Amino acid sequence: MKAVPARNRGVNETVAAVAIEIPTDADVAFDELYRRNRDDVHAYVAGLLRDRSAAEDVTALTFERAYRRRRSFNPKRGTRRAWLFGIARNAALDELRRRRRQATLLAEPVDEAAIPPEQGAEVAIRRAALRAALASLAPRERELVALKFFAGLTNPEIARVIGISETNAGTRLHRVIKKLRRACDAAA
Amino acid sequence: MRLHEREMPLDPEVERELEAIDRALAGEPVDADLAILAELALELRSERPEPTAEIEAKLDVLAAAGFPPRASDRLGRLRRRVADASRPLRERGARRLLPALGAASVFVVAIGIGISQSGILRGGHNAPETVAPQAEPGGTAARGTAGPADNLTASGHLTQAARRPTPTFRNLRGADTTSRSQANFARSGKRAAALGHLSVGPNNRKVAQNVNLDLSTSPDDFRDAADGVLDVVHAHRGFVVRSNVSGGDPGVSGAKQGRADFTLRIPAGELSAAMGDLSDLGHVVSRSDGSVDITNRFVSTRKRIDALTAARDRLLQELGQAVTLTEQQSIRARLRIVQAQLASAHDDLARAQQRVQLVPVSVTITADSKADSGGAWTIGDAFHDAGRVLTVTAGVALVGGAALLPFALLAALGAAGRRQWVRRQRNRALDAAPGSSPS
Repeated sequence: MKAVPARNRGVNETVAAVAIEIPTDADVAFDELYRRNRDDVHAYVAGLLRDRSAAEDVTALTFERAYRRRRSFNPKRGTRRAWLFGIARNAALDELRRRRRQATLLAEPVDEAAIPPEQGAEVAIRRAALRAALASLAPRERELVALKFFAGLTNPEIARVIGISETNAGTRLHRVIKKLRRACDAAA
Repeated sequence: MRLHEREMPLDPEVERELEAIDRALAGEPVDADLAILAELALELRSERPEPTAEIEAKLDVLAAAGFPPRASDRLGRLRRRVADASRPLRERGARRLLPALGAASVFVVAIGIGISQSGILRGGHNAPETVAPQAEPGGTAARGTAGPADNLTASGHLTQAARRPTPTFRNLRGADTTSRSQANFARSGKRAAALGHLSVGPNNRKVAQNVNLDLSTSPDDFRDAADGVLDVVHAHRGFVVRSNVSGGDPGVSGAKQGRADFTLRIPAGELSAAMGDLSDLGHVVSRSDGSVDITNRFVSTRKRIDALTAARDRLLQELGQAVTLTEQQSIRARLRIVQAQLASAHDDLARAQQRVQLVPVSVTITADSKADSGGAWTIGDAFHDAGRVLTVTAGVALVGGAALLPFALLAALGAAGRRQWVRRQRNRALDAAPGSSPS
């Protein structure tokens, strides 16, 4: 005769387990992508748009679009990071287009108070010179700076995001840095 | 990456400086002559706009909610709703089956169209073949007239009429029913005339039609087909002038091959439907439709009647005025002749009208062992039907593809053009962006 399995002592009710939605691989990858790139995307978009509130919206829009298309990511066409910044670039340029259609929004004024006073006058002067040099850059050059120094992308990733060759990206980047150096030297 | 751009190697000095920048950003030491460049790189890095704690919190909230589309983005919200609804299917891997399911559904639709077009559902085994109407000697071809027998489609197929009830076998074994049928002739003629459907051609011309139909059936179906002829005739208010059914006895070994000949009269108004029903009884081997314009016969007979009526009236008048007995007898003799001629003319007119109103139809049924059996559906029939379905399906798919191809090309061109246009607009927006340093 078969023995009937007895219940544990003291257990007199059945507890139903709460059904948890198991995240898919794409969801996990996206979550990691968000955590690692949130600040970088914001920095790139803010550097390109020169508008913090718009940068916040565009960053959110970027991740919204990326989330929607997370399953369409193809690793053969580049890294996930380059893919994300491609979306961010399109979202930022769409924002610029929208501004052109509506009204020309003046760039936010330079916040001089952002320079910590403890860094001294010399640093403050150099910073001011650098900002002036950055301001003198053409938008495409400024975008390169934002991708390289604000977002921290590698040269191949920059090439993928902008849609140019890696050599071309390196050449353009070098040209921009030379231009910035000259502008800073002239200011000094 | 644009393909037309040529990959040129970087200048070694440029490459060295770029590497120094990367090392500086990574916190690694650089060569002394590139220290200023490294310092610039770090200073540029320090200009990086950082999100405030408030922005970070907002983004994290959105991330926790799965970045829901904004209220203004209706399309995005709709997409999200669709994506959420289809999520269980996706998680079960159904998404991978979508292309296969799509192809299968297209195939099923194509097969459905194919079946409906192949005529199998309408009784494809017995579907009549093309018909070559033959001109009656001295008359016009059936297609040339507007008679009801012209109920042929442009492709030459006969029109299918309503289904008849299942035929029952009657005692017709070799019987000649001529006498009985002829007795019904006059009665049915009056009935047909009462229908009011005269076979009248254009401009009220009187057209006499005739149809010959040759059918073949399998030996098993021969008797049913012969019975069916009578049912069809009865259903369409016609009658059998003559019938002869011989051979094809079921269950009799060595019985000669079945053959049945019928001579029928069908009211002109019912001809089209009756021919459709008769064609359903077997495989149509041949059908010929003929017609003769007998308007002249009507006109001349009517004229004759008018002239004879006038002559009779005149004779009656003369008879009233006749004085002598001899004169009266002479007029009466002539009157009898005229009245006989008048009666004959009326008979001619009635016969002509009956010829127009009741169409002679000759039906021959032959039992053919090679003919398809309309009864049980065999594996051979299945192969035959499958072949037809596939042929028609392939045709439908080909025509559909040919019709859709230009639209697909236009859509693809439109999508590519739109992508190019958006890309150009974005680049323009970047070039026109205001320049100032980031805060």
